[in-house]
Amino acid sequence: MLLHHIGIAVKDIHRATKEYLLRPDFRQASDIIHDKVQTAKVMFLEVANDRVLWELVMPDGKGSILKGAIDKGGGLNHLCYEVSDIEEYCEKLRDSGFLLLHSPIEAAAFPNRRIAWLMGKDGIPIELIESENKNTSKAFS
Amino acid sequence: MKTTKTSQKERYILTVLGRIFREVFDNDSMEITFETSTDLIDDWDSVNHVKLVLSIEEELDIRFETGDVSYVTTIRKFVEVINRLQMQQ
Repeated sequence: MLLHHIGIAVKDIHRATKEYLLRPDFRQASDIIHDKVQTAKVMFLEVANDRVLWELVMPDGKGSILKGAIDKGGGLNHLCYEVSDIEEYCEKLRDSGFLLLHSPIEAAAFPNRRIAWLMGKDGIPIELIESENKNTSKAFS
Repeated sequence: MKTTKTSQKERYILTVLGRIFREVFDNDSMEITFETSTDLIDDWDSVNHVKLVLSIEEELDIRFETGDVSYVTTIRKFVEVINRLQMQQ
């Protein structure tokens, strides 16, 4: 498993983006994308010389599953790992004490790649994303 | 009037669930009934829900199916699912 991105829950994605882009080496890596699985508007940031992305996630409405996280102040929301075989790693994590919250489904931000969601007792949501292969199209398109 | 017969096994599961709920919510005086639901416990959020399910799995040596996790929003539903999973073993 390779760390792919860090999810940060924010109340206002436009305001948060401006604040994060003040940090040294931070750059915008995508437009705002509507992720219906996360019930969120998301935007990716990249950091120079680092392969790990940052994903700002904002509730897409009053019924968003992110509302609780925002009510608690937002901040670190999830970790996303890239895996070669998503079913295999769902099973491996399940066997090591995680619950599968969402079975593999097409990713909103990454065409032709699937994501899955799990959580362990530490309460930190884990997202899995399939590795990119030669047949997949560019991320964020 | 609708009546529901509670079996000895269901009462045993309720006892186990009571212990797990007190541990997860760190509340020694917490009492639960079959009617206890997510609406009645303020701290029963998504993170504590996962902790409850994982603790129940460990304690009773069962494995919830993905669809069960979002279904079990009351103690009665927990008992129903646990009963079913134990029958399948």
